[in-house]
Amino acid sequence: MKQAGSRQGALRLCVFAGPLWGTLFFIALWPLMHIFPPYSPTWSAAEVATHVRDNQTGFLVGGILLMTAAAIVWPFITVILLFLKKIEGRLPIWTTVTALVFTFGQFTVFMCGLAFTMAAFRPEASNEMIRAWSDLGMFLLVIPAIPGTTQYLATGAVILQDSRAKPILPRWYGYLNLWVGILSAPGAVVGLFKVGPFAWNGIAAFWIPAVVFGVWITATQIILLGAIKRNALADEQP
Amino acid sequence: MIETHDRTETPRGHIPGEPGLWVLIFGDLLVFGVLFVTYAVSLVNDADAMRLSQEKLGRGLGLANTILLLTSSWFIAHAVIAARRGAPGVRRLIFAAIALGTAFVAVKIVEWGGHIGSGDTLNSSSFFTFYFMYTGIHLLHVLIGLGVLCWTATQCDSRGAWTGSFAVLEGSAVFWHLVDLLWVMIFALLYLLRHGGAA
Amino acid sequence: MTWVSKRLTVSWLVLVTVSILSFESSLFGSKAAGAIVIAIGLLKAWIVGSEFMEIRCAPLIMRAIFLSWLLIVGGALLSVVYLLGS
Repeated sequence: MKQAGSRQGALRLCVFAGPLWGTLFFIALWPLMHIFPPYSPTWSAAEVATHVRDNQTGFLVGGILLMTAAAIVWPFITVILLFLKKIEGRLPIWTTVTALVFTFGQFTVFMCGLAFTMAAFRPEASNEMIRAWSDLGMFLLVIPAIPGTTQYLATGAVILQDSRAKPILPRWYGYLNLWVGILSAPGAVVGLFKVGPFAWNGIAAFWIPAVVFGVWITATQIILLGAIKRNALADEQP
Repeated sequence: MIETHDRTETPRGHIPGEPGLWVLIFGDLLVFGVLFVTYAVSLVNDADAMRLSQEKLGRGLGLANTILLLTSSWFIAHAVIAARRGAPGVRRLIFAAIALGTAFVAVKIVEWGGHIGSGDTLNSSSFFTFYFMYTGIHLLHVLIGLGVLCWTATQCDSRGAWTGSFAVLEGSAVFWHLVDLLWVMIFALLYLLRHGGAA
Repeated sequence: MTWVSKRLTVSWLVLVTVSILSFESSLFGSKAAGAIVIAIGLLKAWIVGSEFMEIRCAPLIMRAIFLSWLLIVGGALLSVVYLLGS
């Protein structure tokens, strides 16, 4: 690989789309929309509408940031997929599954931004209308746990089937993906509860997935940068 | 005599399975630790309502499931020992563990069916939310574990001796024991632990 | 089956026995009974971890993590029952 050096630079640059995505996401939720931590699902329509009206510009700009985040994350995802494809070789079944579900998952992020935009777009709309759109935004924020489970388990399956003496991606990262996948699954139930640990502001449906996801995205950057440094894409092991 | 053999087979400093697996094991323990404490806080803060629902639980079924999983663990631990000795019959031990695990699932379905039949569902009270969600998340682990065990059962030769890598069998066994460990805690906290009340 | 492990079988017997013993003691509802239930649960978790999962033979760091988990979860559960409970 003559061009290895320059390609490594390009790959590294791509990885930084990940933290950029995370930063935009966090700025949107926290200082702009003030929904980190999320408002309680028990809030009345008037309370939610007041919150949205009070932070109208924050919601609109935050919506743009969320939609932008969903649009700029792709270089990061591409690097993950390149390594997964490298592992799987000529019949990249689970890499393809991961790729498709990633696409689906980012679609919910995009729609989340759009839903919050809709909530804030016409502040003179009825309280119920504003709350309905805002609630949709909250669901789209936490519900990617459902496709996420498939994505993490597929990624874990790819990494753990790597039989090379020196794996392309570290095996602990494969197990980490399984861990994240299994623990994302309970996020599927947020529609059932307005209070308690499994409501969308609860410890089991929000805080655990949020922390676990933070661990995942941090670990992903570290192992991707490590694999790029080792030039694992040019690895010649059988 | 058997003892000394065990000891030579698992020397000090041996990591069961492979190091990476323990990211999943300890990660799961960590999250369940948080879930257990969350439950305890609710149990204490909302003692009366929790007790009313909790009293509807069939503790006998919980105990039966505890014994099923403990015994299943015993079998898979012996499958690991047999594999280390190159003995035949590993597959039979794995099958026994799978059978007991399947029985656990069957008991769980009967138990859930009973509660749902009498109107206590996922959303009917704070306790039943915890009950269905925690046993549900645990059941997901059981099903994954059963899948993994079935896959290990395919890696035995015609005599039933182990042909795969030891790390794979050990790792699968460790995951299955984790399922057991988590259940033991769920049984203690959801079925047995009462707070306040009649006494 | 001449290769039955005495150690694992004893562990299994202890686990089953304490499960049955903790079964009735749970009904009293007092704080002490609660503490006993929690302690027995953790004891069982410890046996499953060290004997079945073979953590007792694992490197120090793994034994330390497992022991800390037991102590932290146990400490948190007991404080909740004793301190938060009215």
